Amino acid sequence: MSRIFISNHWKRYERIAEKILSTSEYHYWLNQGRKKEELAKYWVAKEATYKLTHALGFQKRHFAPKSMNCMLDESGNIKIHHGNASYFGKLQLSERGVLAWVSRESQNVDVQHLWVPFKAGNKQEARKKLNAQWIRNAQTPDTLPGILGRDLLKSISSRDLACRTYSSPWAVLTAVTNPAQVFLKYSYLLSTTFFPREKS
Amino acid sequence: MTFESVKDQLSEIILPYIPEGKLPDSLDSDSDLMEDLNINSAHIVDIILDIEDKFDIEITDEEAESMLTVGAAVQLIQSKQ
Repeated sequence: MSRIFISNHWKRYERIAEKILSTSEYHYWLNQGRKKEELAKYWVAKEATYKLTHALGFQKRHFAPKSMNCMLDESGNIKIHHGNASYFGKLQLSERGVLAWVSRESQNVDVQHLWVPFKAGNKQEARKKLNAQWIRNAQTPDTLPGILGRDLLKSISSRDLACRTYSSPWAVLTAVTNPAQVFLKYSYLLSTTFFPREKS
Repeated sequence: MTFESVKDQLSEIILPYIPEGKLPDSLDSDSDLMEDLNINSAHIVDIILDIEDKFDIEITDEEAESMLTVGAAVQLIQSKQ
């Protein structure tokens, strides 16, 4: 039973990889051993860039296109060329989640895009914390690295991390900023990214 | 399959991904998956996978790009039946 369960989950995120990664990204991901963590890095980096292009009005679609080719090095540097523009940034990982900063070259505009896992089955608590720390207090984007570095969550042991980080609900926070102010920010809970929906 | 029948099946697929947990009273063809139904971008990927499973079809990246509204999604599914 559990083998079937694992197999289904594996197929699910394998298919997600096929949907979101460009050909070169996909081959790189295969060569890296098809790790969920590596897939998450690409997804967060590409989604961050997509949010930025979307905020600037360049794109009308729903998720980062496969053609948006992302280069990630081992230090977490992000380089993306899409359309007529280049984007660069940095990916920061901790045991609490993944944060991508991406800027559009030659423009004072950037995006911060953060994915933080919550414990499964605790969505109400997650929403409460998310609202308290982000929406209601009208926090600045400076909060995002703080959230990643401190404690939006109860601590997750590294033993739990492997099974929880990529299966539990995620809080996704995004802020697109110009030098003067935040001009777009939004947040949501993402519960089914890598795995089929949990039965409530 | 008729437009309405596909739309009904599509509604079942997208329902779990609507943050409010319920479909709006009037789900029309022009309803935008993100702007009107508040479905986030990552869940659109989930919906595409669920549609592929349910209707036994494959949706390319270009087709996903055009699948912005309920009506567009229904038409795409119908075109592959």
